[in-house]
Amino acid sequence: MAYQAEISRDNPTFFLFVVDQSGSMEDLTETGRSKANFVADVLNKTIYTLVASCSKADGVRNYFDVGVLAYGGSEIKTGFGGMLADRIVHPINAISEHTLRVEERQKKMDDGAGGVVSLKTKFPIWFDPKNNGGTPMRAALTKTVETVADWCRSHTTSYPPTILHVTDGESTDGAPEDMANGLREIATKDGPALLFNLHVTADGGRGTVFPTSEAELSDDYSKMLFRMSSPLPAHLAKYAGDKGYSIVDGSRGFIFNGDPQCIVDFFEIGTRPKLVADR
Amino acid sequence: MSYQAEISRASPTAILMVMDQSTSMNHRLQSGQSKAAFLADVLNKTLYTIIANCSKADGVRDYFHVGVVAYSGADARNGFGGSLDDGPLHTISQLAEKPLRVETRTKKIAATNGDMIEQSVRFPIWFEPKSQGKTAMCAGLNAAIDILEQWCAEHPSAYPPTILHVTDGHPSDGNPEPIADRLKSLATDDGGCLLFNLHLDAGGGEPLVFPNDERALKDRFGKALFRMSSLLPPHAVEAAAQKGYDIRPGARGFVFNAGIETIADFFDIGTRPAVAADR
Repeated sequence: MAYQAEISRDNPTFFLFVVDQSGSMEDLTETGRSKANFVADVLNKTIYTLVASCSKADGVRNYFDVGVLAYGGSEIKTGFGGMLADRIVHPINAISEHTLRVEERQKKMDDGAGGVVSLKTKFPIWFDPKNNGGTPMRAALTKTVETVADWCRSHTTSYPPTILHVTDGESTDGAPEDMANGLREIATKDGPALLFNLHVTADGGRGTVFPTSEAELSDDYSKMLFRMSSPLPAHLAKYAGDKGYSIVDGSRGFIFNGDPQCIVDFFEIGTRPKLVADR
Repeated sequence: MSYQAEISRASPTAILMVMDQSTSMNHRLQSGQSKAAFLADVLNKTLYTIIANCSKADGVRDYFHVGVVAYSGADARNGFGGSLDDGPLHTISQLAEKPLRVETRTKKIAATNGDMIEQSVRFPIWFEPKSQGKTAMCAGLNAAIDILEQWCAEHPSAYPPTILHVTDGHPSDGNPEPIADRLKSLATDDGGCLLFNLHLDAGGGEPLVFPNDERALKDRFGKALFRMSSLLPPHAVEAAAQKGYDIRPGARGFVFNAGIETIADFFDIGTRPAVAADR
């Protein structure tokens, strides 16, 4: 059985976020914010949640290696900046120590007595959206294959890597499907790498969440991203079901045009491996 | 001119809340509470606020008759429990005397620097959250007609009744639009009943607040709810503008995709007819 490995400091797992930074990601959503900004917020929040889940009384434990790969125009590079700008992948405790900055944001919360209160919250930033140019998805997935293969070579018994890929458009440097197929064949002893794709388009069509067949999708590009996506392993399928999604056998880790909550859930579900084991 | 009648003890007005209690209302909001639980909190706070606004040195003045209709499954029923379940509408002084119970809640308050302070508050409960069964919206609106037809006949010169209808879904018992039209056609000499509709957020989307054009809505049921909603009368326009909403000519008493902040504002704006006049 795959995807059973316990995640520990001796046996960490790997989350790689592959983020489309092509010019079209600057298009505004219905809410007046750009897709790129929204995705950046969700990614920063996800990294913060990963840091928090590794924080114990004795510090931040290295249960995870986390990478961010950004692509757009002619560039395929790390999405980290500042002290982390030298590499795509870092252990979680290095990430926890080196934010780009910590912003202060206002958050509206239920006040517990039928009202709403606006409170200050700290919002750490690791990733800033920078968008321009075309969508070199093939080159980005080629780099992803290298990065994931390197990691698996040095972590043969770990829970396999999870790759969350966010894109809004068609590849401008050739079809990426064979690269994605190659990526899903890279494996540890606990199973092959998991590739989940989030497709956000500007036209706001009806969303399709965790489909089982490409027949549920209308455009060729979404159909290809569906084929590129791994089926949800049992524990993630259960978690998605608990969040209210209808999941059946064969549901893939793919969302087309999800609403904002879907995008948040996509990141949450994708970064929820079996809970860590060491004490 | 309609909606000019002064509200006084001799000439009170009626406020009727019509609450969807279908199964989907147990879905969680981003704040973590279920929709049903948050709505119940807002409704109870609204009742408390109305009582407070009617409390003068000589006691609670009966400027309003207030009722709650709850619908789910196949039918609608009185949403009040305890000793208030004997009739659909109650005077403010009856409400003030007969909450189901008074809870102690921990309320979050923002300090001047934006930090959170917790304060213990007394929180009276009249209405309990429930969420089970289908969306018997037609039954709910028909129940409102039965209640308000009689009330209007008994109070021909009063400020017309206000109905706040809250739902998150599509009706399961037919087309509610003609029923809403009938409800709005019930009138006193001062104008037709005011029907305001609040549609709750299904995901994390931005709310559409007091729209003046059906074309702003993509969702078919959203369009129907828009048409079912009364124009905002002058006092509500003023209350909404005070809260910072941009109200254009022809704005309807309708919010689509409401989150916690717009839910609270909707109840506040909808239950503030022209301040009572007698001294």
